[in-house]
Order: sequence, then C-alpha cells, then structure tokens
Amino acid sequence: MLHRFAKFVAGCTVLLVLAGSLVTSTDSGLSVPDWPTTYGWNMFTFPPSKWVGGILYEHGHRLIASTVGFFTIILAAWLWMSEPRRWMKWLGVAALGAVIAQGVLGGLTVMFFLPAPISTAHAGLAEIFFCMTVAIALFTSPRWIDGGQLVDDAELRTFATTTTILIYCQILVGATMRHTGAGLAIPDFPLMFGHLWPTHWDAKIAVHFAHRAGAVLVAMAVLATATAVFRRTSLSELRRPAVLLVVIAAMVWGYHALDLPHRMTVAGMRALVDSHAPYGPLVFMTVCVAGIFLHVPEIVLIAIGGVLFGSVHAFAYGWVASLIGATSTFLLVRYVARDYFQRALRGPLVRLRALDERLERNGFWTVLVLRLVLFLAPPLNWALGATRVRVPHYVAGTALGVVPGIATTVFFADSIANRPPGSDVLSPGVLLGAVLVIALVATATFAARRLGGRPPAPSA
Amino acid sequence: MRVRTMWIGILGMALAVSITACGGKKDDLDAPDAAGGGGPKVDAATAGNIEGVVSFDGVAPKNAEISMNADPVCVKANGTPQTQETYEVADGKLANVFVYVKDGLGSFSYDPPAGPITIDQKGCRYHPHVFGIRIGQELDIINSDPTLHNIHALPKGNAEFNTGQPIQGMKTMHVFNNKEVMVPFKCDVHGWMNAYLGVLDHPYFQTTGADGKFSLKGLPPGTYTIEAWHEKAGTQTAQVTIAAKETKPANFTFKAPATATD
Repeated sequence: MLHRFAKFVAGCTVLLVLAGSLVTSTDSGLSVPDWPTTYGWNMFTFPPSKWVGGILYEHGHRLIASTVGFFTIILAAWLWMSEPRRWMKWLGVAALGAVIAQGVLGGLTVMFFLPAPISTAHAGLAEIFFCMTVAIALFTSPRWIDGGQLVDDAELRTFATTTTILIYCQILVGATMRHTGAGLAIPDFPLMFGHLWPTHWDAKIAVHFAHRAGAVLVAMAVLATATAVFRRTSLSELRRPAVLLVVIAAMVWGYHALDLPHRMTVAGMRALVDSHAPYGPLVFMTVCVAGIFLHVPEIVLIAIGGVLFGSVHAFAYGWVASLIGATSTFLLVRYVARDYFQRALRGPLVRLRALDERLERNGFWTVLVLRLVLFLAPPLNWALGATRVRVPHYVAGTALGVVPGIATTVFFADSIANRPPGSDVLSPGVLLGAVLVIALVATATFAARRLGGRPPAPSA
Repeated sequence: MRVRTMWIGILGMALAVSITACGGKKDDLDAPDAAGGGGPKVDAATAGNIEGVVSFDGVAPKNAEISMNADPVCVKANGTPQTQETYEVADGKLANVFVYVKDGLGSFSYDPPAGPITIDQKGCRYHPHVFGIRIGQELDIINSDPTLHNIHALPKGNAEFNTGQPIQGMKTMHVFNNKEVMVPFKCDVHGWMNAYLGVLDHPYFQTTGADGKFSLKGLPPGTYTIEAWHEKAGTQTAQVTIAAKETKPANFTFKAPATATD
C-alpha cells in the first residue's frame, strides 16, 4: 500500500513538473503578482471563474504543488511510522524538505520578478524532488525489498552515474537558457549562424551553445550506457529502461531537429494544408490510407482532419480514405498475399476463425458489428482478408460500420479545436461530442453482445 | 563537523547574497525631480515650437493576430479577429510614435505637472498604448474591465513593479523617479496587452495620433535633438534650431522593413 501511494505521489509529481513547465512556456509566471495569496484571496478560495489567461497556468501550478506537498507530508509521515529502514525514514523527510524549499523558491521567484538564478534553482530542485519520489517508490517496491537479482558491476555503475550527472547538468543549463531568454540566441539548427561553430559570442549565445554541446554529450553518454547495459547484463529490469532512455533521447533530439514546437500547432498544420491547396484534402486522404497500411492509429489522423477541415469535410475525406485503405488492405491479403498473412496473422486469425462461418453466411452484419466494435483496428483490416467473407459484404459492412466512429471523432475534434472564441472547453458542442462517444461505446458493446456474447476464445 | 558547519555557512551566505542581489537591484533610486534641472524658467515671451508629421513609407507590416480566447470577458469586449497595435498606419501617417526632446534643453526648470496621467485597462487593451510622463508625476493605473489584470512594468532605470487589479474600477498610483525612454508594460494574464511609457524630466514630448502629427510647444530658443521612437521601427533623430518665437518643422519617415511581416 505504501509502495502504491509512493508511485501515486511520483505520478502526481510528473503532472506538477509539467504544469510548472507550462507556466514558463506560456510566460505566465507573474500573472499572479502576489504569493502565497492569489490576488489577495486565500489560494484555495480563489474563485475558478477568475482562472483566466495566464492565471490558469500559474494558479493551477500552485494548487497542484500544494496538493503534491500535502501528499508528500503523508508520504513522509507514513515512511517515518512504518518503514523499518532508518535511511528511508530520512529520505521521506528529505523529500518533504525539498518540496517545502521548492514552494519557497516558487514564492521568491514571483516576489522578485522571476530572477533567472531563482527560477533556474526552482526548475533544478523540481527534478531532484521528482527523482526522490521515484526513488521512494522504487525502494518501497516488493522486488527491491526482496532483493531480487542484484547487479554489482562497478563499470556499469560508473556509466550510469556519469550519465545521470551529465543529464542533470544539461537540465540546469537548459533551465538557465529558458529563464535567460536564450532559447533563440542561435536561430538555426543544426548549424550555428550558418557555420559549424558560432561566429560571434555573447552570454546568451554561450548558454545556448552549452546546451547544444551538452545535448551531444548526453546523447553519447546515453548510448554508451545503453550499450554497456546490453553487453554486461541480460536483466530486463535494466535493459528495458536502457532502451527507453535511448528512445527518449531520440525523441527529444527529433523534437528540436524537426522544429516540432512550431509545426505541431493547429495554426501551423492549417498553414501547411493551406500552402498545399487545393491538394490539402488529397494529401490528407493519402496520409489516412498510408496510415491504415502502416498501422498508425487511424482515429488520431481522422481527428487531425476534424481540426483542419471541420466536421463535414473531414468526415467525407476520412470516410473515403478509410474505405479505400480498408478495402486495399483486404484485397491485398485476399488476392496477393493470403498465405503470407495467414502465417503472419496467426493470432488475430485464430480469433476470427471462430467467426469464419458466420462471416461467410452473414458477412455484412458481422463486418458491420466488427467495425462498430473495433473501428479500423489494423489487425482487423488484414485478418478479414484471410477469412471467407465476400468482398461486397466486407466493403458494405465497412462503409457503414466506420460511419459512427469517424463522425464522432471529427465532431469531437472539431468542437474542441474550433470552438467559438471565448467559449469554455465544456461548450455544448464538446459535451455533445462526449455524449456521442459514450453512445458509440454503448452501441458497440450492445452490438458485440448481440453478435455472440463475449469474443471467441482462441481455439488452436 | 567543522567542515560541515563551514559548508552550511557558505551555502547560507550564498543564498543571502543571491536574494539580496536579486531583490535590491532596482531600489537605489534618486528622489523625484519633476522640476527639471533647477535652472531658470522658460520665458514664455520668447518660446517657440517644433511641429511635424511622422510618416510611413511603404506597405506597413501586418500586425500579429491575437487570440483573446483565454478570457471570455476580453472576447465579449472586442469580438474577433483582433491584432496587435504595433503598426497603426493611416494614409501613410504613423501613429503611436513617441516624439520628445532628447538633448539640448540645458538646465531649465519647469512648472510642476498639471495633474496625474492615466493608463486604463479597458477592453483588455492598454489605453493609451504609447504615452509620456514626467518624473515625479502621478500615474493612475485603472482597471475598467470586469476581469483581472496585472500591470507589470519592466523598466531598466526605475523600480520594477507588478500590481494585481482583480476588481473592476480599481485604481493604483505609481510614480517614476528616473528618466527612461521607454518603460514597457505588460499584462501577464493577457499576454497580448502591452504599452510603452516615456519618463522625462521636461514637458516636451508627445505621442502621434492617427494623423501622425506632433507638436512640442513652448521651447526656449536653441538647438535640439528631437527623437522619434516607435516600438518596432526603432528611433530616428533630427537636429532642429529655433529662434525666439519661431516654429520649425521636424518631419520623420519610417520605412517598411525588407520583410513586411511582424
């Protein structure tokens, strides 16, 4: 129970760190000028109707922080009372001390108008506190307490420690860059002012350059650590995080290299579509069809369509693309590569084989219900091609079965992204979308029951 | 134990120094001196004027669009779409340019300011957007909106302040003690709200209106450096010499940047 609570606190801390980073990203740090009060109100009685503009982020961060602080008090007390390991008791106290210090730093940075040293210290201590909550969760886990398989490898320890220190230094340099406004001190990437090395220097360029150089160092350290883990141990408990570490490093690198912060906005995507008009819909439909072949979650692509084109157009484009994609994959399996897919899709096929007779006899209704329940699930697209269902039945069942899913998705996405200016997120349109989603899930569940109770069990 | 005590001491001192350094940097201010250099008064019988027009040459860059969705009160007050006030150009004339005597006044003393200057937060915009004030003159900050604003001044030569005004009709007073062109204001609640204030030790300043015109009246005879300041287009200066009772022109033309985007 203590372990679960510790995991819960660590999870809440992730939210807290994200909320804190949003405060800086939205430049909302001083939108509440006073501390610990909020515009003179007690923090906990500040009316939600006044959480407008930057206040939403700053006040929200304070509330989440207070909640995590409260949870940390409970965690520290719990550890103190029930934990036999003396150092664990003190780890709980240290975490509590860290979260209190973090609150004071947050208050100081507001009162002194966001001085970079205090804001950077606030960001740096946040990561330390997060690591403390994760450590408490790890040290209270049953496998840790039982001992499990111990790895006592000095070289691996050196790799991991060095990488951890490098990552933390990189976080501090990154925080300094953010809080001194040096994020765009070097405007191009990967070159620097068109060269491999900055052509001129000032304090901001130096900080920015240090962050880039740090990224290279961290990337090398991460790769070296992951390689060392794979060479020196077969423990999945170490191999999995090593892979995750490399994936996260690659994601962070790709995020900046592809300039995603500017492209992944509704305005950025709309500008991209507009720049390709009148081919925008064609590009969108091609991406949707490709998505079906590549197993990209189709619901996400269609939702993006809802944001970009509005409900009606996105529904039409999405429906046509889904039908083309689903039929293409079906025909590919049926007439080109049936044997290969029968081998490759043994798992899904086993489940569908029980339905094969029904698919042959009553193909339209069965496909319709499968579509209602599973929408455009990638295995379904491939697997149905290897069954005895007739092509017209498959196409008709798919054409009708995907309608509710596509309609709900585009409507929901459209109502959130393109809601009237000034309207709340919980506008009537969004609520209607939510009701539609619930109705869809209920219909799908009902249809699944009518089809034959629970899904067929694997028979071979 | 001694080593630990020493480390604790060093850390404590470092924290104290950093807090002092962060907190004390803007409060070393001189006493306000609204009257100017303390010298003779300007003789109204010989005073002249400098008048002119600020023009804009070329196509004005499109002002950045702003979304007020974060606050329904602001949307209700304005409708959509809304843009920043960066380039206010009409018939080739540029508004919101702060024109002032930068140099040449010597040590004249002036009558105290007539009354307070007001900046109003109305419709989730600052009114005025660009304006001037004299050292020691009262700045009344008013919130006419039925929503919260914080007015956050980011001066370099005066004390930074960040005042919350959560209630409609609230009024706060502030005084600037040092000459500074310009002091930016921002609202951190509504990120699009910005204004600029020129703080001067003399009364010879004006902000251009929609017709681009300005007039600096009552100047003693002499040679002056006149500066025109615009928030995006930068500054321009002109040397103007006026004799007794003379009115001389000083016109400025800002050119469109090479890439007409803002």
